[in-house]
Amino acid sequence: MSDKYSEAAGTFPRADRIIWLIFFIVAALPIMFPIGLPLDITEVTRDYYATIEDIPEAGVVLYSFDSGMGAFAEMGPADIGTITHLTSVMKENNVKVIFVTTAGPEGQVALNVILTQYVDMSGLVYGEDYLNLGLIPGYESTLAALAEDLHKIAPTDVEGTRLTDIPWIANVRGAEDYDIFVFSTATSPDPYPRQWAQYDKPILAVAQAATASWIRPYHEAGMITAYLPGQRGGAEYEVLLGAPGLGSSYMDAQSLTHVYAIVLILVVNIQWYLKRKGDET
Amino acid sequence: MIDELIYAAATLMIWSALYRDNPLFKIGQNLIVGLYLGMTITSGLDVLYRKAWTPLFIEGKFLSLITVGTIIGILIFARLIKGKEWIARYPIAVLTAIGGSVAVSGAMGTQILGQLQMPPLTSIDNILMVVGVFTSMTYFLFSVRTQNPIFKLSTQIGKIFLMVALGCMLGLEFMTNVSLPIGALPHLVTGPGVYVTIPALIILVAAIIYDSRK
Repeated sequence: MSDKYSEAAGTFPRADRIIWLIFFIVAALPIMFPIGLPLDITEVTRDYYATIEDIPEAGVVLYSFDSGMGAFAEMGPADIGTITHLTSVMKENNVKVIFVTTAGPEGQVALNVILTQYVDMSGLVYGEDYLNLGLIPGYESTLAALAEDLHKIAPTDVEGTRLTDIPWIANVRGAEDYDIFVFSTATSPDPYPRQWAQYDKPILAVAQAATASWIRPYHEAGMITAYLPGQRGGAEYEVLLGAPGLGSSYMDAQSLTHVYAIVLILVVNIQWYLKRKGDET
Repeated sequence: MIDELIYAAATLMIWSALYRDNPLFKIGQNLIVGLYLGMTITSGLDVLYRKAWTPLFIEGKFLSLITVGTIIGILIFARLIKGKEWIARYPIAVLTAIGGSVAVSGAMGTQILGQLQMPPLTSIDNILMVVGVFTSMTYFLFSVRTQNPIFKLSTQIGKIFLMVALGCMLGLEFMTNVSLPIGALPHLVTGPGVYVTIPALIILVAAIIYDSRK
């Protein structure tokens, strides 16, 4: 922390402090007293939903969970919505899900929090309905290897059980055996389509709003089927699932803080304009 | 309940830096760095156990690629041996080569050839995309110096497209960064976290009064 903060103590009405104070008030009020602002569902979110609904009977999903607790507020709602939806197709269509983390240890922490605290996993049996391969470091190289031959890169699951001892996964080798790829990343989305798009399987993405503009070209080119960008994507998905949760509760605060940001931009620009005009005269 | 209280306390300790530097912020900062380091080491050891120790020393698969990978991995510690630091360059070179080749081979189809397909000019979106790409590219064409008015007009239009694109990216970045404190706020203003937030606000007000009297 810079010393300028310490030196400035005692001068409370400083612009940045006032800005933060108002920000927290603006964000906290709708959380304490929800407004329920309307939320439009975008086409890409509907496509995301439809893609999961269309997973065939006994289909296999490879879910690379590479976001973490640091981005949980941003991506948690979309991840929770995705896994909640997957659990419903797991129960109805006997779909199997393989979870894996390739980018860093945080992914496994966030995944375990979601599976144990936010998603109803009752009726599903670990090993029979879903599997967690744990952290396999390597990121893009691991993504490539998972598509090439799952058993070579991950002979055992996170608990040390050999994959060959799990009947349904014994014949799942690589990309040709997966019906859909899903990834959740708090960093660059580039490695996923780079390694998976060649297999012509649907790819779903959960990403930060900040990286939505990175994903868009892949989506436009048909490489990524659909994506949920940040809290907004998560909130839309909760509406589609008919289960308002974290994302919906955040959206009022998101909307009001955006209005606040626009007001700040206008105020600062008007102030700058008036100052410049004053300097000229 | 305890985890909610710890979450609220840790969040407020970090956010206290927004007022000014203080010991609580430093404690929170070190706590988070320490916890993250601990988690990373634990996770790393777990991976080593599952991916190297178990196959090599429990299952006895010495004649496999795992042995090669493990030896290459161990070589990186040569950095710690005085005079033998150069050995550590080999594992780094191997990692870089593998990472580079995997990324480049995948990039050809998706990031280069896949993006070169011109969309049909049948919608305003597609027309704007094509015009935006070409005019923005002319803005970055520094190798040719020309006074051609069409070229100049193109660079001006490209500049506008670039500004719009950067504005959109900044907006999305703002959206992401705002969502992080918003995600933490429910833990502070509802539930057990309130019992931490209220004393924290009292301390803040006291600090403001104390500082203003200095």
